[in-house]
Amino acid sequence: MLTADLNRLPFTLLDSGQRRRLEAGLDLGYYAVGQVLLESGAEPENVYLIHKGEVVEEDPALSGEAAWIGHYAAGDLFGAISVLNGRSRYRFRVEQEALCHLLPAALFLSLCEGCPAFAEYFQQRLADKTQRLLARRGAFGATLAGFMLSRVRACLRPPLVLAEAVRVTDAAAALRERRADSLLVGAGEALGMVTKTDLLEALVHARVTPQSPLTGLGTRPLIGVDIDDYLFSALVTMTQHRVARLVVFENGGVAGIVELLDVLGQFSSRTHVVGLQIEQAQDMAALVAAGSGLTALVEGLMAQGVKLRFVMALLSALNARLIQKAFTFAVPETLQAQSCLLVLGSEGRGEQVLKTDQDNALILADGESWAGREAADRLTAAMQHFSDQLAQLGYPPCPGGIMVSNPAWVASESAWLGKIARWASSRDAESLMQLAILLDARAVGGQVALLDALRESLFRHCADDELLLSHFARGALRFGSPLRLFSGLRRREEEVDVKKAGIFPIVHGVRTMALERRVTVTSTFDRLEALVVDGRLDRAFADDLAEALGFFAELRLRRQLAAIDTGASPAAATASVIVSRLSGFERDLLRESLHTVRAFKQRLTHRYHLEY
Amino acid sequence: MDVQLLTYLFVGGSFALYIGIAIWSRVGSTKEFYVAGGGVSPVANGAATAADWMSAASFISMAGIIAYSGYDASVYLMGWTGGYVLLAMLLAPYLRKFGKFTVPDFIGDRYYSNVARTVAVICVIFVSFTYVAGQMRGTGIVFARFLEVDVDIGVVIGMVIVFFYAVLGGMKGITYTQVAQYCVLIFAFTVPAIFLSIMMTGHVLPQTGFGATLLDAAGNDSGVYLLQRLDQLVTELGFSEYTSGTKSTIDVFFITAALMCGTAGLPHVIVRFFTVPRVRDARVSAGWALFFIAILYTSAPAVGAFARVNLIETVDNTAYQALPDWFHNWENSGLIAWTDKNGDGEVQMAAGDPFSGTPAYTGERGEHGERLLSNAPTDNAGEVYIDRDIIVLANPEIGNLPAWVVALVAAGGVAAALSTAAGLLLVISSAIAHDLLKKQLKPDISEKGELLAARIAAAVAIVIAGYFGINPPGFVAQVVAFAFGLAASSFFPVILMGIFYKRMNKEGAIAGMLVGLIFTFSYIVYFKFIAPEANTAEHWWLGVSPEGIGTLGMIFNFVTALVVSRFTAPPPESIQHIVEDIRVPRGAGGAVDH
Repeated sequence: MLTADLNRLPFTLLDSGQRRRLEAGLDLGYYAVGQVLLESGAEPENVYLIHKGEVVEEDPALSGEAAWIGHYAAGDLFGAISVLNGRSRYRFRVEQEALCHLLPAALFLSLCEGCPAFAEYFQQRLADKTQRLLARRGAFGATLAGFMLSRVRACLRPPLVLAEAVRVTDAAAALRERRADSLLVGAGEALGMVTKTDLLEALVHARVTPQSPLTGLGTRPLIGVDIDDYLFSALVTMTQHRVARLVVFENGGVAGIVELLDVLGQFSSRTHVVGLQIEQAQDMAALVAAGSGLTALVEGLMAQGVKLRFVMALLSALNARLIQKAFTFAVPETLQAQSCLLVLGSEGRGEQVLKTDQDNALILADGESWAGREAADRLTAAMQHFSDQLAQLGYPPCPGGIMVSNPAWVASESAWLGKIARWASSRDAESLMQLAILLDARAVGGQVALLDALRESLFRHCADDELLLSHFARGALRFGSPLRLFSGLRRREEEVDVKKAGIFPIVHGVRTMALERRVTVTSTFDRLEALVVDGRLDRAFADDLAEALGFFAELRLRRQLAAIDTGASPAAATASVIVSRLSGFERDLLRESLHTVRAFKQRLTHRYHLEY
Repeated sequence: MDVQLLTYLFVGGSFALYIGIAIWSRVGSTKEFYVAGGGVSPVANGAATAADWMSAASFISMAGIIAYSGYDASVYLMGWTGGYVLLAMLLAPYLRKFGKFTVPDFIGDRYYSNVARTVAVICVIFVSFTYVAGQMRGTGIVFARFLEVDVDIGVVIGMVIVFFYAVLGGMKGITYTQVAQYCVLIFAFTVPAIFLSIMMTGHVLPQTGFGATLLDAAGNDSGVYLLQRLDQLVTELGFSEYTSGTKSTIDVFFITAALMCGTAGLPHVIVRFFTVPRVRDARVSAGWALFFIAILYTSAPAVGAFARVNLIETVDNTAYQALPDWFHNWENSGLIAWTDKNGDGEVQMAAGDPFSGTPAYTGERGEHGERLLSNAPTDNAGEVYIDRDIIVLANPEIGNLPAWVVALVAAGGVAAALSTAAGLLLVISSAIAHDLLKKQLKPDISEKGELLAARIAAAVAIVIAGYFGINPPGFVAQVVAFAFGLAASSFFPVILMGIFYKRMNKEGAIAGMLVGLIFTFSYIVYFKFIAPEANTAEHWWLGVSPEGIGTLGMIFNFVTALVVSRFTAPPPESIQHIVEDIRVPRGAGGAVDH
């Protein structure tokens, strides 16, 4: 007789006596395709543990896609929640002939009674499931992230606002009294930030005396976040601007201050430590040391259950600072003042969590003489040096040569404009790829304003050309869907390449729409947001896409981290996940996410005339 | 193996091939993510274009028309080929540069007017419907014969298959599926042609066999030219000479011009030119496409002539019961009918219709086993009705070719109808959902709603097209000719002037399109539906047949547009600049940026 595998959750929660009782009480049942195991509203007699086969859970009141609730395969357990509720809310139907271990309802309930942890496990599952369903059906406008992450509102300090006429000594007293670290000076629009350190420095350098007014002190403009932003984006903003506190705005007015220490208290992560190390690094050796902490940071944040898209945003800010710092070390100052360093591809979109290939380019300001042979040689040498430095930092050279050590990716502003015009008119596969790469560019070092003209020219050449957009969009359809024609995933043993099946179509499709609508932000999540504001996408669908992309990226990251554990390079890790190794919950998410991708592809096909 | 089984195998096999290619092309394992459709050679693109281009009309009907009408049918050859060249050279390169995908989008933007866009959408729908109805008829005939069902049921089967193929399968967008369709189609057309050519004239190439002398039964050169023999056969039966025309010169000219300009204005073909990314590749592809099209078009006259000779020699004065199986099979499909006027049990052929209208079977069998008719017989000697659209399909059977050739032709007919019908269906659905609904009637429609509208439009379109396929207003090639006439009289002038005449404004374009379309449509409807008995040369205006009236409509369109635009305000500066720009090579613009 077949024995059920009880060496796993939730059975491991039972003591050995309870497990023996359970084992003794198990029965075995065989069910044919289409058979209904549990009708909606019926009183369940058993809890089912699938040995083999597949079962779907559906809502008989709805039809088609909306009816679909859950999907269970070998090793999954279902019916427990129904038993706890006394009746089944949905219908369970056999999709592929199934062999199930049956745990009688009475026995199950008595086990729950005897072992609170066991019962708790199912209560928890019920909560999870409800939440997921509510989120999926849009009953809550927010994404799942809302449940996982706190908002800025949660760790707000009241602001200390003083008029400019207040004397320094009184300000210091007020700070002490309020146990605050900073104050805002001025009124209305013209507020400035004064920290304790600012006061101290001003006194030490004798720019003020204790008796002088605060006039002239204060950093402006204020760097801030909205009160409803995620705490995580506050952390990202702090990292980007290298500040330790932000002003919190609510409806245009100041609602308070959020301090780095408070945020770190919530996350207890090493984020800022790494950030500080990067900031303080005076030479390459120190920078390398700081950079080496990034992978551990990612693993730590992931382990804490922080949503990947926020990890991405944070890491891309840290990566950008790391690269920028390396740029200042490796490149002469005159060149820094006359050029703009771009990061491209996934780094440009801020969707690179682990360090992978160098993808970068350089714009030289027009009118500066890098044309002569000697100057050109110096430039090439500087870029080669920079590229070597990045390699030291753990960014391997790009095998496709898309990096500044390749002269093709270093050009003057007008030469870049020429390239864009040429790519836009020739629109062959190669050109479209270059346009896509450049569209994702983000300026990280030097004169960042130089990128604006390039992006403007890119939009001018492409945004109104339906033919070009059509060719551009076609890339998103390049890889097929692992979904079967009408229903779920193919065989369970199958590997799904999440990069091809999920990440690439979403990123490229959203990129095409961003090009069409002249969206300048580069992160796919930000682009989705901008496209919703623009009216190009509806909110619900954009959220679905963001959720799906986040999930795919997470699956991929796990593979990469696993590869690092075994000593391989993350770039070499495949993005394939084996369906049967995912949990039932993840399988559901994967299936849903793939459905979202399929719907997205259909929209792209229609909008960009890809059916021809 | 019998013909039936082989046909299932060939048609099924060809479908498996298309689906297989579609799946294979989507699971590409290349590491390069961005190179979409990269590496499709111009040769492959040319073949794909040719598959789109050659419809059921080209494959099934053209040779049939040639077999029956002889010299008169040359208008189709000249018009369609000429139209292709016109489109590839004169219009497509400039339309590309305008950067709009659909013809209504181009017209709407070029003439800065939603009214113009609406008129264009209506024209697109009209033209595409007419064309797709022709395709449905063709598909129906193929399925009718090879599944041994009635032609009406064949049309319904075709409707379902085309709908799935175009709307749900997403296979249309894959170049190599189209290439495979071209290969199936061209093999299916040329293999029987080569067989017949060798058997009848000893020439391998049907193109040379057409002008060669016939072999006698023993395989020796009889010294009689194929066309000589054909002329002799048809004149004996009272038809006019095969090699001389019955149409007036002006009518021939008008029909050819209508076909040419109509072809150049056909939305689903224009779109095909946009799917090749680079201008240079597009030119080379167009050249290859012309070559691939020419293979079929130059074989067609020979196929028509071989078929006619064989048909007359096999059928005329033969006892009904002694006729080969194909005759009875096609009779069962409702595409052949015989009424034994003189009661001799033999089938006689003669000029003129054997009875009025299309066959209306009573459901009973006569003394020889023939299906009885309720049609009123005419007083000429002709006893047999043969639908011209079956000539290509029946040709291998008439010529006694091996069973696999017969099956191959069936697969080819399906391929030809499928690619064109699917392309048209997509044009219709996108014109309705995108150009009409999204751009005008309901701009706030969600993307999901637009997608649904596109599918519903495609479904409705296929049903209406199916209706016209079951109740055709003419033979496939003729129905299609009307589509060309409508396209010529509506689109061609506004597209041409939109590119080459910057002074043309929206008032002129709208007036021109309306005049052209309404005039042509009314003329055709009058002679084809309201007063079909008056559809003879002496009633025609200026001696122009309904097939050629599109040219006159086009001239009216031009004149109206020019006159109206003279008396109305010129287009805005920005539009005039664009029109100047699209005729300047794009490279010049790029050089300024350097």
